[in-house]
Amino acid sequence: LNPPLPGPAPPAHAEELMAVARSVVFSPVGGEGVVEMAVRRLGEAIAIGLIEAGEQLPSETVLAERLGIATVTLRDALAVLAEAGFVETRRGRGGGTFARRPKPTRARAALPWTSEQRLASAADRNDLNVFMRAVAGAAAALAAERRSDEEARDLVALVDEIDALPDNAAFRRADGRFHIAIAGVARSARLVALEISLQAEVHYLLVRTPDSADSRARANAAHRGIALAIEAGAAGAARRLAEQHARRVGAFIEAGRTRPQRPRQPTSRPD
Amino acid sequence: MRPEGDPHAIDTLTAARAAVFAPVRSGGLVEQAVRRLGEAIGLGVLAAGERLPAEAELAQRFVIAPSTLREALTILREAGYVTTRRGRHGGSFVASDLPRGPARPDSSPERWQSAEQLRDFTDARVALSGAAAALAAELASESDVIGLRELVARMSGEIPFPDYRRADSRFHIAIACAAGSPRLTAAEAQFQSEVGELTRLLPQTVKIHMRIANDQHEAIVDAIAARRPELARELVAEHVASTRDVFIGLRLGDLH
Repeated sequence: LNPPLPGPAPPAHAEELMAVARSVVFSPVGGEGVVEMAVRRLGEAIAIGLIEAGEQLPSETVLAERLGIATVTLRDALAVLAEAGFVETRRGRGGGTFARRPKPTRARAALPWTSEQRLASAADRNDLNVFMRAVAGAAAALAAERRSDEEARDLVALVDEIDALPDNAAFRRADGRFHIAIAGVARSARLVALEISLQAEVHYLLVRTPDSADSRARANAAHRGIALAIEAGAAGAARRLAEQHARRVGAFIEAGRTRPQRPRQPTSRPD
Repeated sequence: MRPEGDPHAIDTLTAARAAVFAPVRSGGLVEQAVRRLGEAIGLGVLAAGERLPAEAELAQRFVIAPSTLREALTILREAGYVTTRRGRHGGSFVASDLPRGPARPDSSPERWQSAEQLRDFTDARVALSGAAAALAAELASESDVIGLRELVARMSGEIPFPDYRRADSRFHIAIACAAGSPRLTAAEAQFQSEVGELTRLLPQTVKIHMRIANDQHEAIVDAIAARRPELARELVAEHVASTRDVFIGLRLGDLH
């Protein structure tokens, strides 16, 4: 830490301060058209299991209306999602559009937000983690203040369920849902939307980092701590634990990148 | 949000699923470029009189066609935000006298019809602006702190409300910049443009609130300078909550 910084006020420092803001101003606009935004919204939700594989989406008319886009635009978005393996359309009676579990390689090739370039540098990934700590920490603190008794029990039960999940893929999806559920308990639509996007980004970063029974057990122990702090109404502790967990997820991602050839870890469950 | 009082409606993912199916942001590339530049100008990130990058460069950085950029600049010029000079030393400049009123073509007061929307907005600001302040308390350089103090000094003077608002939004964006996080900075710029929208809905500007708010700004800089992250976070939370309360207080009759 640097020492405290009082001081008189020579001009122009305020201008220098804007450097980051200016780089944001001049970054690409509209990398996303309406089709891409719809693809992203639905694709993220399917990727992290918020819409489950096999689940039927609302009809095209209803879905287009809820997303606030034209039906033709929605069809374009669904075509991209079908190509990437996120949905399939069945004809005839009982037909409609259904969510599928995409193959990561295929999804990554087709969907821009999963691209490697977006989070290619360690600085970009660190910024993602900074943002994730802010969102997860605040959501956990608010959830601790606002949760009903039933919600608190639901969160702890969700952690129990995650402990019993058999494989990495199921664990990852449940993991994302757990964090989104906390933002829901916090009663914050904005934090929910941010958490969904963050979980989808993390989901694709973690594709390169295989879980082990050990890493899953450690992650879920952290989830349990967060859920118990929320149940206890301990906002400060919930925030701290959520931030700590997010920081460890970041470290886990970085470890996976610096040692890409790492052998698969043993699958025995620790203590 | 979950319906109140229905014990069977308990599903921790209800809110999340509602968010999935909420409207996606719409608007073409022209409007998005107008919005990006208009917001930056309105917020004071781009200073009055400042020269914008050349059209070709700007189009390249925005990753849009030059013709799309030119249309956006035409809209901004007609709205009085940008002037264009021909010849050598020519180019597009941020207007030195900015018009009052919304730069954003999609400015939508309808979004602020309920206290619930204000609460959700405030929660998100407490989360992200609070985190930015905490991080700034760890990472701010000496010159960052001096820059923040300059802005506080500017806001404490007798200045017209639009100038106050610009310095105010720069102050909050500058904290996120000092935290070194592009994502938090982008979030803060978005928040500040929404605060601007809210401000325009107020029946009159509130001098006494400006003074109280700027005292809070000063305390926030002091906490950042003293390297006290948790204090900085708490002070931002208080500041954001008091802004919310002023909005609710002054518009109570309109909110439902």
